[in-house]
Formats: sequence, C-alpha cells, structure tokens
Amino acid sequence: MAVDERKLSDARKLSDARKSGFGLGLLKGMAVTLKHLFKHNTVIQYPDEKQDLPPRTRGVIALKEENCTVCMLCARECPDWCIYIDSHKETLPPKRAGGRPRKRNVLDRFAIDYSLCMYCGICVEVCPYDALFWSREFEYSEYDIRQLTHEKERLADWMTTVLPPPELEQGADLPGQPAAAAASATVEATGARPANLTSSAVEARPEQAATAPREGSFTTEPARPASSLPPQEQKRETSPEDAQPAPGLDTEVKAAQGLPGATTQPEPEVTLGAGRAAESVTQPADTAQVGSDATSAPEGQPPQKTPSVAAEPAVTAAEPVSQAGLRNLGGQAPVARPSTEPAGVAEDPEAAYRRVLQEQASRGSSPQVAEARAKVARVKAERGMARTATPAPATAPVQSAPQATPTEPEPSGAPEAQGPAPEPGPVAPTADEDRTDG
Amino acid sequence: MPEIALTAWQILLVKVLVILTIVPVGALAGGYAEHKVMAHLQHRLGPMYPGGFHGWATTLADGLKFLYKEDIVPDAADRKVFSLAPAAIFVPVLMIYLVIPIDRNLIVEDLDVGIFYLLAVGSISTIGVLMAGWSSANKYALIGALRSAAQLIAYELPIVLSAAVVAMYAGSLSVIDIVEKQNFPFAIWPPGIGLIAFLVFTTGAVAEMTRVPFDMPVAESEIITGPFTEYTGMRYIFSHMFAEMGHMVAFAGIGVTLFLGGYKPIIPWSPLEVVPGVIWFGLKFALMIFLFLWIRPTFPRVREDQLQKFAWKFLIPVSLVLVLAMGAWVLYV
Amino acid sequence: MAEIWQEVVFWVFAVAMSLAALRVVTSSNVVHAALYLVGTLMGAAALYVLLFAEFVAWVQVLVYVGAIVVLMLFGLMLTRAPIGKAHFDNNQRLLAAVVAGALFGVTSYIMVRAFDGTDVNFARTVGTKAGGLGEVIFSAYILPFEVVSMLLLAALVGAIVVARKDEEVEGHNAD
Repeated sequence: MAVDERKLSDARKLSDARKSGFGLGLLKGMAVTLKHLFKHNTVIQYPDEKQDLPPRTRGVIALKEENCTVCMLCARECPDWCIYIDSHKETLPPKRAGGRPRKRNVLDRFAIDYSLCMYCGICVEVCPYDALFWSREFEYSEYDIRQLTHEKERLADWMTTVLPPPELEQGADLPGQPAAAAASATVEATGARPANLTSSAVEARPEQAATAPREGSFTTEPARPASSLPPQEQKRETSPEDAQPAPGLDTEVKAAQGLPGATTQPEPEVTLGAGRAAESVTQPADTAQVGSDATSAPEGQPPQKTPSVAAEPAVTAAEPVSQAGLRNLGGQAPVARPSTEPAGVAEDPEAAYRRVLQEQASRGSSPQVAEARAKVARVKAERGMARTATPAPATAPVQSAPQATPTEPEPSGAPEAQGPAPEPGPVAPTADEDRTDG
Repeated sequence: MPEIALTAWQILLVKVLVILTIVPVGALAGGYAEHKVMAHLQHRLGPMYPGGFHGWATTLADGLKFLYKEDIVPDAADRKVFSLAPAAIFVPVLMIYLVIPIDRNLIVEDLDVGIFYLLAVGSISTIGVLMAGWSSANKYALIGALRSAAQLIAYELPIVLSAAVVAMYAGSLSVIDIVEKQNFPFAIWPPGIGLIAFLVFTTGAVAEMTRVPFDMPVAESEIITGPFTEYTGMRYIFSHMFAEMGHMVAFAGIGVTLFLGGYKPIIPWSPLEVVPGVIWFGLKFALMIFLFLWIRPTFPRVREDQLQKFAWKFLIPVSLVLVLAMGAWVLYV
Repeated sequence: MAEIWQEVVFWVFAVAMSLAALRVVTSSNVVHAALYLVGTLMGAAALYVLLFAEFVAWVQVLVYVGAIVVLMLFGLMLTRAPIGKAHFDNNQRLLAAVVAGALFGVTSYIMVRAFDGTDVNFARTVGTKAGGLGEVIFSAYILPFEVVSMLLLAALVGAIVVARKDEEVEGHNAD
C-alpha cells in the first residue's frame, strides 16, 4: 500500500510539475543549479589536504608479525592467491627437563602482492591470531609493479599506521565477559599480582632480565605455564606506555585466559593487562635460560633495559587494570578496555542473558540494544564454558604444557623470526569480540 | 594620397592584430571561465593548479599540450579538405568580432549592414563543419556533420528573425545605431517582445554553438566528437575548442549589443553615464557568458528529433509572431 | 590610386573565381565540386564588396554559401557522396558543357544588350545603404518582389507536397 501511495504521489507531483506552466520547469532547473553555485563546495584538494578516512577504510593490510603462527589460513582463503608465506620448523628444547622437544613454525617470508589484492579483507577476517589489520594508508603506488609486493618488513611497518580499536560503546560489555565474574577475578588478581611480579621474578634474576623482554612473555615460575602469550609483547609493549591496558593486549590476554592452566592459577594472570604486564616483566625468569641465546635485540625496545626498569612498567601497567576491574565490580559502565575475562569462571549462559538484560534495562538502554547485548553476553558465556571444558581441569598447571607452554622464548634468534606460535589448540579462536592491536 | 592610404593600411593592420589577439585570449579566458563556473555550479573547485592562483593558466596549459600533439590525418581522409576545414570553421568566427562595438568608438568596422554581416558570416562555418565531417572518412564524423548542418540551419532562422526584430525596432542594421536606439535594453523594452526575442536568440545561440543541451552533433556518448572525431592537436583546438569558445564569446557580444544595450548603462540615468561604456559592456558581457555557462550544467542533452521539432515547430513560429508584433509596435506605438 | 587597387583586387578575385568555376565542372568528386562552388560564390561576394554593394554581398554569403551550398552538401552527403577520396562522377560532361555554354551566351548577350553602350562607372566610393535598397525594393520594385515571394511560397508548398507523397501512398495502402 505504501508503495502504491508513494507512486501515486509521485505521479501527482509529476503532473503538477507539468501543469505549472510553460518554461517554468526550465527556470526551476536553472534555479537549482544557481543555488548550488553558492553552496560550499565539497572538494578535498587531495594531495594538499587529506581526507580523514573512516576508521574501517581498507587501505593497506598490515602484518603484526609476532602474532603470525604460519597457519596459512590467510593464504588459503585469499581469492587472488596474493599472499605468499614461507616458513620452516624449528625444534625447541623441552621446556623442562624430561620434557618433549617442541616444534615451532618460524615465519620466513610473508608477502602480499598488492597488484593482485582485491581488498576483500578475507585474510584479515580469517586470521585467528590477529596478525593482520587494515590500515587506512593508501598511498603506496609504485612505478614498478614488482614493488607492489610488500614483504613482511614493509607489511610490519604498516602496523604503525593501524588505528587503535574503537572505543567501546557506553554500556557495552567488556570484551571478555560477564562482568561480575571478571570483576572478581580481577580483584584477586590485583591483590595477588604485585607480589609475584615485582619481587620474585624480576629481582631474582636480574642478569637475564635484559634479554627477557623480547622473549615470549611468560609467567614467572615454571609452574605457571598458563599464558600462551605470543611474543608480541616483547616487541612493542615493553615500554611503559605500551604496557598500559592498551588495546593490543587483550588478544594475548584472551589467549591466556583460554588456557586452562592460566585460568586455574590462583594468581594474577587473570587480568589481562595486568597479566600481560606481569609476564613481560616476570618473564626474565624462565626465559633466562633460553633467552640467553636469543640475544638479538628487539627492534623497538631497549634491550639494555635493566630488569628493574622492565619491572617498573609492569607494575604501573597493572594498576590501571586493577582499577578498571574494580570499577566494573561496582557495576558501572565498564569503561576500561582491558577485558576482564572470567578465567574459566563460566556463568550460566541463560543467567548471563538475564543479568545483562536487567543491567541494560536499569541503565536505560533501549529494549533492542538491551536484548542485543544480552545475547552477546549469553554467547560469550557459552563460549567461556566451552573453553573451560576442553582442556583438562586446571589442577595441574603443567598439563597443558604441550600446547600452552610453548610460550617460552626460543632461541631462534631474530626477534621477528620467532613469532612463536603457541599452538593454540582451543585457545585462540575464542577471541570473538574486537581484536585489538598496538 | 599615399600617406593616407598607408595610414589606412596601418589602421587595418592594427585592427586585424587586435582581433587576432582578442579571439584566442577570449577563447582561453572563456575556457577558463567555463571550467570554473561549471565546477562551482556542481560543488567542485575546477582546476586549481596550473598557474598557481586558482588554476588561471589551465586553458593555456591545455593549449600548449595540444601544440605538442601529433597532427594526424587519417589514411582514408581527403587530405586537402581535412586540412582546410579548421580554417573554414575558425575564420568566420574571427570575422564576427569585426562588428561588435565594445564602446561607442571601439569597433573595428561599423558596417552599414552590421547585423546582416554577423549572420552571414556566422553561417559560413557550417560549411567548415560539413567539410570536416565528410573528409574524415569516419562515420561518426559524417553523422556529426550532418547533425551539425541540420541544426545550424534550423537554429539560424530563429536567430535571424530575432535579430530582425531588433533591427525593425532600431530602424537600422548598423550595430552602433541599434545600441544607440536602446535607451533601455531591448530585452526590457518594448515589454514582452524584447524579452521573448532575447530568449529566442539565446536559445538559438546555444544551439548554434552546439553546446549542451543542443550538442547532438558532438554528443560524445554516441558519436565521439562528431565532425571533429579524427582531429588532433592544433587542428582540433581550432576546429572545436577555439571555434566553440570563440562562438560563445562572439554570441555573447552579439547578445549584449542587440538585446542588452551594448555599451550603454542599463537605464538612461545620467549618473550612470559616468561609468565608461567599456565597463558596461564588460558587465553585460560577463552576464551573458555566465548565462551560457549556467545553461550547460543545468540541462540534459535533447534528442535529435526533439531538437529539430523545437526549432521548426516552436522557435521559428514564435519568432515570426515576434516579427509581426514588432511591426505592429513600430507602426502604432 | 584607389582605382588601381580596386582593379588589382578585382583581377585577383576574378581569376580565382574562374579557376574555381572551372574546377567545379571538371572535378571528379561531387563534394569537391561543391566546395569549389563555395569558392566561386565567395568570390562573387567579394566582387560585390568591391562595388560597395555590401548588402548584396552579405546576402550572397548568407543565402548561397550559408544555405544553398550547405543544403547541397547536406543532400550529397546524405545520399551518394562517397566518404573520403573516392571519385564519383557521371558521363554527361558534353551535354553539361553545351547547356552551360548556351546559358552563358544568352546571359552575356542579354546583359550587353541591357546596358547597350551606356558607360557604367563601377569605381565608386560610396555604396547603396541598406535603407535605400529597402526603399527601392518596397516602392519601385514592389511587384517583382511580391511575385518572387509568391514563387518561393509556391515552391515551398510544392516541396512539402512532394515530400509528403509517400505518406499519402501509405494512407492509400492502409485504406
């Protein structure tokens, strides 16, 4: 009906316009263009001025090399076959005496041929480890088509142009999950963490600390194999600012949480930011042995940092996180980004659904928004359960060793090469919500 | 006598040089104005780089570019005719400028039959267009030439008739007389007749220039550039760009002279007489050019048959009625 | 002095016109022939200007060059004119020559007879003004003028009738 009415009114308008008198239509047309003469033009003088492109602009694809596990998903999904990946396997010494030697893929080459790329973004979508990101940069044309194949160094350089993920909406759930559970977790964590962080690990082995940062971040003690954190942190996040609950971190955090080992730990790792920071700091401890070989300095960061320095950032980083967690506890809108995952503390999906629904209602969200958020919460809760379910009960920390433990730093040498891919088993895919990056 | 003859020649030489300078400069300026006005009518900026300040040298750079282009004559073309056509198109345009009075004394030659001369000269370039279209040995060119010829013939009549209306009112064919006769611009007075005649003239002028919405002869979506499809480099510039721009400038000048009171103030009020005629002419001329430029981005191209129908079934009858009406006005008012 | 110049210019144009006229009839390409005709007619206009008959000169240009030749070209191109260099000719030159020669003889004879010994001085410095011409046409020559108008009108109507013939036939068929 509505359509018919519209048609009718269009027809009426048309006939009215025709009736309006000879030549008036022409005058109207002239008036329209004349009006536009005085409107402000919308031209952006491109090379001189640049448009503020939308955050999701598909300009160029950046590679966060440390996150890449050489899983080849991107290369396989690419409709144009424009991603080239070479890698080799390295055998790593067992984590602890009597263990099994581990194998790891080392990325040798990662190249995207932009003369073929059609910017579909499938590779970015499909990457389970958040190694690929869209950047808004688009000025990389070349006189020689061969230059359009960006090797991994160049792709990694684009990372500096990647925007941080958008702010969470007011009232949105934290990326992690059920707020209450998360909050409690953080509380514990905050309480526990500082202790082991500062004291034990770092100070214990100052010598090693120097190399530590670059290595895969780790838990202080062997007992805490939990975090499967990829070495990403080593590179960029060691510096204090980076250590902040910056966006980039969550991914690892999630990974960490996903791990059964991690979650079960009585200690700190639970909070993302905090956990991470802790690891990077504490790391030196384990890495020490291994790390000594891997001497090459990470690019960004000062290898020379003394342990104490390294430790510092960690601590400071931890602070905000815990506060955020506390705030969440209070039931306010979660502002802080660090996802407080309820490590293994699974909430009943339905309960989560109802709870969020209520929260949203009390906060005055519209019914649709409330429902949507509640559904998200439910899904998250379900996934959280799944996660905990797969791995063996968290009792034995070592348990997950084969997969989760890989974390440690390999001696592989060049920092880049070692984007150690923790075989993530069940873990990684959980990263549902936003992927964040540095 | 020799001295006098000599000075006469010198004067003639100067006049010719002036025309030869004015036309290309006018065409370049017109082209620039077209770029900019059209751009702003469409929320754009138009050219901004060449020359630095708002791209003032755009058309100059364009012209230079064309200078460097290869002059290509198609194998199958009729070489002589092909080469002559641009001249046949462009020279008449030059000749129009002879009788446009920029001020009371600023006119190359005040011919006794001024208007008639304008119309006669203007009709010559049709031959050039036909030559260009036929000699190119290209079917698009031929189609374009035929369209162009048909259109130029059809729209010449309304122009001639509307000019005749003016001549009847002024009682003279001399452009200076016509301007002097217009205390109020003819488009205002006599009421109605003048305005309609002006509109008929403007419509006809747009069609004669083969500009949108009457640009079927060069409709790029159908027949590339019509008669000029095979032209390159300077020949293209002269046959198409300069001819169109030169025509536009010329028609604007004619329109100002015949319908807007030329170099005289818009109303006969003595304080306005202080302003020099050149400035009045310039203002009106700019208005006229703007009108032409304004039409272009506003209207869509009309179909060939609509175009012919409009000329023969509407414009010509209207202008005939105008002639009658003006006759009555002259006799009884 | 001025007369000499006039003379010189006259001969230049006259020779050019004659050559163009020759080419009109000898050219093997109809379009070329038509274009040479343009040259001839323009030359005629130039001669009128030399005689200070401006109005006639521009009428010549407007009507013959601007309209008649354009129509000729138009018709040729619409129908049979080959595009480009190809030749197009018929084999009636002899007949054409005879007709043209006869016509030339007749008109020459008439013109000579018309002035019959009167000495006409063409070297004038002031031409007829358009106003004067108009007055003459609409007073002394009003009858010939009206006759010509009627003739043209009849031709116009006839042309329309001829052009519409097909439609009528179609109408019959439909009936």
